[in-house]
Amino acid sequence: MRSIFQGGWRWWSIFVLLTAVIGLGAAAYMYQITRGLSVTGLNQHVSWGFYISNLIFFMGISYGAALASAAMRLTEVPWRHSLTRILESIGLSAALAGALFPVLDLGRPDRAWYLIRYGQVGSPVVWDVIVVTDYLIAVLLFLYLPLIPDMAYCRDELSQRSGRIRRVLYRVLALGWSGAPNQQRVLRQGITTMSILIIPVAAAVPSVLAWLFSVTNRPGWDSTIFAPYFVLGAVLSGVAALVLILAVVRKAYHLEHVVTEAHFRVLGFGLMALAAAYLYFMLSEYVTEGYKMREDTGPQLELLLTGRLAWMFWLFTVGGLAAPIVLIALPMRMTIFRITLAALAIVLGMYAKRFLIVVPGLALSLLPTNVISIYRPTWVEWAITAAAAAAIPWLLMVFFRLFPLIAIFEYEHAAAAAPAGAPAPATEGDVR
Amino acid sequence: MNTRNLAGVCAAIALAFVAAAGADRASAQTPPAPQPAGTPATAPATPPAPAAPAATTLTVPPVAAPEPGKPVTLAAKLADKGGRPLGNQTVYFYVVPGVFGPDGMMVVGQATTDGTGTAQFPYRPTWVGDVQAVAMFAGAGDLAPAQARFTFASPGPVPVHRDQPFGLEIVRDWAPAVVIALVVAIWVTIIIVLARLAMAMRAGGAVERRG
Repeated sequence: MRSIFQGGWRWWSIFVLLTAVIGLGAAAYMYQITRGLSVTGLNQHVSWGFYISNLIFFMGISYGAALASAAMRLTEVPWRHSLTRILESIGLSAALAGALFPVLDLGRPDRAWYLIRYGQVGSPVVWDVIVVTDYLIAVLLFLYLPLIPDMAYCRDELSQRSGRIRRVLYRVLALGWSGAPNQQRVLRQGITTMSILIIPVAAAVPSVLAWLFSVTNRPGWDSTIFAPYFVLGAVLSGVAALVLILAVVRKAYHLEHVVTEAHFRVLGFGLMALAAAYLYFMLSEYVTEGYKMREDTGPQLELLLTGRLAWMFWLFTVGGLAAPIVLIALPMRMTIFRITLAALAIVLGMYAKRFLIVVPGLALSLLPTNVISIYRPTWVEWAITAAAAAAIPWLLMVFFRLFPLIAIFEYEHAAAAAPAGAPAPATEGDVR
Repeated sequence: MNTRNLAGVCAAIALAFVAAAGADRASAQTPPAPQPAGTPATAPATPPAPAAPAATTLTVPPVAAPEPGKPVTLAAKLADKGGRPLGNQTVYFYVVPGVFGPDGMMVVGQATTDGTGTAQFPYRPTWVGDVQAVAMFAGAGDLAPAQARFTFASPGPVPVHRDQPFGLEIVRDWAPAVVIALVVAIWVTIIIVLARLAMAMRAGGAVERRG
């Protein structure tokens, strides 16, 4: 329960800093609303720049986190209780940050209504709206269900120490939980159902997003492996983001006994396997494209491999994929610092990769002139991107000020179910 | 130099051109223009002005009421001032969609006049109601341009485009229903989970109260 009452000047300093970054992004967006999309670097050719890259990146982190949590729950990994709450909260906060970007990219946000009013079922953009809406509801419920017993715990245990608003919040969100066997049974079934449901729903979102690209006849997008490629990229960036946030949370809330080096080692091996699989997908994509060397994909490959964007492509491939694999695979002892460093490289690399998917495909003209448009994001796009990146830790900080960081009920349940004589798993309360 | 002086000089130069041209033309009806004041008597010889283009007329016969989805035949007859048909000339047809501003015209086709001076063009209207159209002859050689505006009633747009059969029609026809069923299944599952939870909470609360 420490996270709920732990504030202090460090917490407030970071909170104010993140709020300022979000405020700057909001001001930049107001500027964009008043002046139109001309204040961005978007142009006639590159109409999807940072905004759509951000959509794929942040939503990818969200799906990755939700999928990882669902997989842990369904396979009943014994060490899952320290991670699931954090994963699910990352899933929701990243989804909220990412889902805003299609609206930001519209220029006129009121036109989002047109998608509902005039939307055609045959359009992948409409599919995207449907799956993202479904996913937002599903991930909210996926986070909320395991939270119910903990809300009851907060309602019963913290009523003397918390203010009126918190008391009301806990009472309402606890839904009258009393821990009756019937309630526990229904809740367990509900969590299992949502864990099963979240997997196809979460996999559907990057798949539909991928189809948004691959059904469009643009160089570099016309690919049949885009859907699994996007799902894999989402899980990779989601797990990498989890490692980063877990490292910060562990340090900030002194959870060294709950989130151990063993957790990081498992996540590190997972990262290595996912990064290797992503590298394989990339190889498969570029080798087949390069072998065919169609008239339209030739300039795109040239742009990526040896052209103006080659520095970013190779930085991502070597620095964001190959180097983290090597870093984790080194024979010496796998430390948390090393895994966190690899995760940071992967997160930055995956952002660059999303940019490399979105922009070159649009920058190349399909006219015989072979003109390559130049896209340079302006301060408005940078400010909004920084605000979205800041919004995720901001939401997590607010969330963990209100709700327990670790799933207390599940943790205690696992401890009670442990065989007699076995050491009970450490709880967050033990850390105090 | 103010605007009036500039206009005066331009007018003087134009009159000098007309005067020079009039002297060369045997059929000139207009009298030679007087020399404007200030023009030197020994002005250099000016090139002859082109002959005034012969007037043309463009008339549009009433457009026959078309069937829905069928093309409308737009026709225009080009003739000279004396009513003689002008063949082998290009006539452009435009429609005024009203979305490109008040004078916006969208070219929809062109046709060459036949021996009777008639140009015909089949056009498929894309909206229902009155369509404003323009037939225009841009002029050629010594023939002056002419245009005629006309309106015709469009009975309906072209029918919905249908792809040629490609062997997977059953997939295409059922895919939306399957997708909708999947989305509904997701929502029903979520609602069932919430409903069961709400019932369990109510039952648990009742047990607690009885206890």
